[in-house]
Amino acid sequence: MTSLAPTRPDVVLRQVAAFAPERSVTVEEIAAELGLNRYQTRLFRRIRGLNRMRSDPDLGLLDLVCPPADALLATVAERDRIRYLIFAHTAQDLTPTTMIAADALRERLGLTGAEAFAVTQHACASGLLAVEVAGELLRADGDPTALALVLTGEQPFTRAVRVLWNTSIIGEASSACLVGLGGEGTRVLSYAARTVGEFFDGYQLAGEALHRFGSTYHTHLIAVIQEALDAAGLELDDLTLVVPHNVNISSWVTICATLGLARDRVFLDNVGEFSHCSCTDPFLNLATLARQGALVAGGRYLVTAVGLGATYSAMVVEC
Amino acid sequence: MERNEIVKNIQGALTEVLMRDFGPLPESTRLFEDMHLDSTAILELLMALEDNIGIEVDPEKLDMDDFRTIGTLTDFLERTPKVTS
Repeated sequence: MTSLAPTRPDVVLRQVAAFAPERSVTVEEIAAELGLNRYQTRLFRRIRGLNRMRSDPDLGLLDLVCPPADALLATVAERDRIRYLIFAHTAQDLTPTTMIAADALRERLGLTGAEAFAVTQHACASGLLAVEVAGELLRADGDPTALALVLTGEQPFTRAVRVLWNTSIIGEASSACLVGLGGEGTRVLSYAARTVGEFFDGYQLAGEALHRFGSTYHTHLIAVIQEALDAAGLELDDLTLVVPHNVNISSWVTICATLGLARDRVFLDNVGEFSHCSCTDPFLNLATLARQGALVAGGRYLVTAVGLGATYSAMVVEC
Repeated sequence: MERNEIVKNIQGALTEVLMRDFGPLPESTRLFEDMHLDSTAILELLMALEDNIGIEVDPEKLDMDDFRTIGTLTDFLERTPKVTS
């Protein structure tokens, strides 16, 4: 098991934008397409709390990822201050070998002066990792006004990456997050991540390892939540809201019961509407809350993500 | 529903979920250790039982202790009210 050191509280999420395709499918429709039986289908709706998810097979990868970045960049006066474009995604390869997705995004967004690369090492927790990486790069940059753009968004292009056992079904959404050091925005107070190597098989987990992954999921995530809270010098009661990943409702029922956390202090509204959208969940949920005017100035929010492989991560932010 | 009918329903649901006929199983049969179900397969089994017996469990109040053996699962299903249509 490895842990990352907490971030120094100088990283600021200047802006967060999210996008999801208009087209959607119900759990029943996607389950039929995936060949799930009626009990598995019922499980996803009744126990996991999934309802529908966005999916547009006619949309290309760049068409999915660029809209929130375009919207965000339209408000940025000095684009040349964006020195880093970090594309966080779960599947290691999203494009043919002749194409590098991060480079293609840089070209399409007109950020020709930015270094572009992908972060995938934490699977679905790579979005939060990318924010941490952005902070490190900006500190080392030498220019205090330098910025980084963290992008997420991908399409589950095979059955193997579309359905996670009886746990979740992947939907499509994307996000863009502008990261700077200091300034106006949502301040990152702490970040903690643990990678538990025994689950390295990821999507291929089976048998005893899969059973252990399921039975220890909450323990590992709660440990990292506590680590992030400790690093921020906060208690659970100090949080305005928990902004989780959208993998399902039932895992949060267990976590809430274990932590003694009231369910209405966890933002779960997007689970039924979007399902789990790989690295995008934390940003999508923050953008939804911002749009609803539900982010309180000075409020502290705990953001979580879990990636197969398996990495558990938590970030405390202050709006 | 009589207890022995619930046990038969569990055996039937196990056959459906695991796609293998085990024949009669004693109530002491352990679902994780003996039947090699994981926590997600247990829930699939529960969905099959909801469908077959006509009950609806409260997803917020599931306790894995109720799924230790066929006997404890039978106790749980006996306590769960039937859905009236």
